[in-house]
Amino acid sequence: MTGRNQVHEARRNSHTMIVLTALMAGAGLMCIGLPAYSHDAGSMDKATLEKVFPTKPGYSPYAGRNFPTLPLFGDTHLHTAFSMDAGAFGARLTPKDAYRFARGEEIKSNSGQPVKLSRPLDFLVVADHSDGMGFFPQLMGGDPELLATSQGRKWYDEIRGGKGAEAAMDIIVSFSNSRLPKGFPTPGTSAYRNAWQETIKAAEAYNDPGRFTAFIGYEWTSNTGGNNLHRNVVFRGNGAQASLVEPFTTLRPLGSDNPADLWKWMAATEQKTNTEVLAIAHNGNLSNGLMFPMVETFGKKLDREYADTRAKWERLYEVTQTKGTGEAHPFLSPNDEFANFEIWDKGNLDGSVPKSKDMLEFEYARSALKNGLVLEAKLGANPYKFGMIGSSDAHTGLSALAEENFFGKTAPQEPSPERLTKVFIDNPKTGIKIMDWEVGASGYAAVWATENSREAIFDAMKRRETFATTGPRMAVRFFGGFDFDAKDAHNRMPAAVGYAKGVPMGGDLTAAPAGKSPTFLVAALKDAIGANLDRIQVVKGWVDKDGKAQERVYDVAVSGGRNIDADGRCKTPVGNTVDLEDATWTNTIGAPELIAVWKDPQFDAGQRAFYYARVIEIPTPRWTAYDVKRFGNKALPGTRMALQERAYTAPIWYTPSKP
Amino acid sequence: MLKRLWREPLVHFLILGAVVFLLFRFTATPGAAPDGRIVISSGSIEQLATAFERTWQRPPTAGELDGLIEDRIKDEVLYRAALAMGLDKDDTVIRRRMRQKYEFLTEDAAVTTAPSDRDLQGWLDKHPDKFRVEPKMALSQIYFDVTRRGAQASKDARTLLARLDAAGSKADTSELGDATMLPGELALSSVGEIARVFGDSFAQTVARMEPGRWSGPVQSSYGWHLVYVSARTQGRLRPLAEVRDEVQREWLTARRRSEADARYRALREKYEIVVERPRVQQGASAPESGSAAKVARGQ
Repeated sequence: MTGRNQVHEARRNSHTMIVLTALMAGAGLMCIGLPAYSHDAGSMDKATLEKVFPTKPGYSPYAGRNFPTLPLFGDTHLHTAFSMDAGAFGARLTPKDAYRFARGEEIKSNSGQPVKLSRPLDFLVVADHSDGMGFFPQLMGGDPELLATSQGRKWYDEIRGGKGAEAAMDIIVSFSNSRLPKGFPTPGTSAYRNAWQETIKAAEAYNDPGRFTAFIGYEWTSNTGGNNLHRNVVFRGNGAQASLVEPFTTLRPLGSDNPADLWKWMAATEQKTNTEVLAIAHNGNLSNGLMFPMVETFGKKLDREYADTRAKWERLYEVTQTKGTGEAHPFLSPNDEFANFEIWDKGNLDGSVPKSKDMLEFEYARSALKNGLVLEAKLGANPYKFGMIGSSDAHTGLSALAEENFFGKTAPQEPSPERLTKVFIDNPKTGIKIMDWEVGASGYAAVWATENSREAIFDAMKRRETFATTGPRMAVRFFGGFDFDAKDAHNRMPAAVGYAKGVPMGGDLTAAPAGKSPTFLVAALKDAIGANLDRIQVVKGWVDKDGKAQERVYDVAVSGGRNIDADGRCKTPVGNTVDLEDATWTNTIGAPELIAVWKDPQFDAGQRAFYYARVIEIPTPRWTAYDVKRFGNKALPGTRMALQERAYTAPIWYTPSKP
Repeated sequence: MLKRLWREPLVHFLILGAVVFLLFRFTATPGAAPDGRIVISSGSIEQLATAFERTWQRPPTAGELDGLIEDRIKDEVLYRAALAMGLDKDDTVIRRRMRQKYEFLTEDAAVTTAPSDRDLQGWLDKHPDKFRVEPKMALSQIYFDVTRRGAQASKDARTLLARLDAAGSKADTSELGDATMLPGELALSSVGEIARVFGDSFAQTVARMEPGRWSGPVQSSYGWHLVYVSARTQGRLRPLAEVRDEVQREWLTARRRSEADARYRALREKYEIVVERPRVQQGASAPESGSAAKVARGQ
């Protein structure tokens, strides 16, 4: 135990040393005695900084910088035919195909269509379901016993009758209700081991440090009662290390549906493999109030240990994906006119239980961040201290999430004239129905990593230096400190000032100096081939003096010379250039780049708070509009045809010194 | 005495009986007479325990192990019952599973024959572009913000360009133009990499620029830029030694596919394939019956 901690500590120290050495070298300073570079603003004062970043460095102002200069974009949540439901849905692409596609190669989709990304991705995690991992025939036909069950017989008939998609939905529902028959591939069987080894082999074959990172991972799909508590598990290490374990499943006796058991597995895995793992939860919006509990979970009251453990393993949350965006909900944030974005709030994952309003608070990222502060005051630790990323959850092996190049969530949702009108989820018992058109072309994970490698990206994820996008590849900077001033927004190198005077997204501020309020340097650059930006906002959450969680949205930079009123809001919309008929827009409104320094106008040094940035694009056509244009068919009434894509950064937290 | 014994019919009977018994004993198939025993060997119990341990990172308790064993027994009992009922026969799912197993196993067999250097060199010669080192450029850029300068942006850029031409390469440009999050300098990057930052048309323009002087203005989707290409490396083909792993990966991928196809064709050759299509109705398209004929010839 201590040995492990020492290794851990040594690694962190060596990392700090590298950063420090590079900083000093870059500044031409070889003096010793500088305080350790850290993400704590408190340990860096201005005089020190001027030494580290002297006014007259070497000729090239860019030399010697070791902080991340360009964000890396990827997907931490992609399924292939190895996932039981994906296979039954008709996915045929394997992990190898998935990595080839993400690296920018043109391949044939599951439905035989040629498909290619506009630009390669920088990294990818193939995260197939750990339960039943392997080919779907391993699930469906691996054991004749299966066919002696009424379920097996039903699926068999459905697949034989060409209704694979219905069988797939039924498999998901049965899985949710722990009604899977015997014959399901489980760890320890050779079929299972083969699938895990194939997954590892694919990642090893396509991992190409410096150019493309192929992570090893899987999805742990806790779904009891249809309530989504899924997590993706990502390995920092290599194939040899990942081969020492087999994925954790949810079905007893080998697995468990309780996240606490997953965390135990993660701890044991780190010990056994001598590498690190992290878990990323997703789709709280389909958990029916269980994703971010406040009182108890799995029959146990929340306590300090729960908070510490969850915060240790779950440093990120997947806030946007094909099954809806879960940053904020209009019911919870009535004053936030941008909260109503790609919302899925009809029920849980299989539609077996309808949603009630009281569940929402425990499902959405913003309310979880707020409740995390409340819990921290109560338990002494914040279980919901997460950064944000987006990912696909596509079950096609294709991480194709641009509105104009969207290949759907499942194989039957690959481009076709039918996908505008087909039903995705239909639960006749509850009447919950979700159409294919409601599936979102979202999102990607953006990571400020120092280089494109498993280690660097993983470490950036761990320090939460990440942001989520709903598809476009905009670059977003967000720094917090106590000394940013208006001049910094005009600095030639905002990142250099940002790192020097503050902490990046995902970081912590503590102990405000007397009379000072947190200040933030925030900047956003549009996607090189994407739409202009409408505005940058800062979302603040805090716990007031009565212990109640509060939230407020501020506009901090807006395009087109619009005004930000005294209440911190710009009430003039950016406009709209979308031509739905042609599925086009123009960058004649908005701005390619926005930057601002913002100071919290209502800061109380004694109150816990968090701040995160939200960047909004100008309106553009939704994938449904491209479908109408390209297939020449009609959308159903009520289909959303345009949207304002966005990015969400990881928060920066403020904790009072003596809470 | 012995002779007499040999003539004894009872002895004949006993010997014959023993032979018949032994024959029966060694030729009886389990299918014909189901074996009434299920043995869970210590080896397979160990396997169960290991599997449990691999997920839970601890050995199963005695109770858990009993549960695992019970489950394995149930597995075997029902599996045999299903086989006895012939549930594996004529079943699409089982057939698909068998097909997949076959494909899986034979695909792996192809991998065991490692490619020789000649194979790989041949592959590299045939697909040189896949492994080429792309030409790369290092550049600096000065940005002119259209949001701030409007139509004046490109004119301002032109004016500055004239001054930079006069000043030569020693000019300190770090404070010129407008501040931006776009990188002021890019280390050696391929056209594709430049395109990811500045957009495609910018990258294409820069690719044609003469190094060693300021050029432009070049338009990107962000605004206008003056660009200085400070270094340029030629693209080149890479020798096998440099790209061996990648070539081998691509070679194996292609080889697996082609061998699977060849294997299938060879297997198929062994059959006379008869396709009995429902009779084509009058007016139905001719090519379909043509293709049916081809199939019948086993192509």
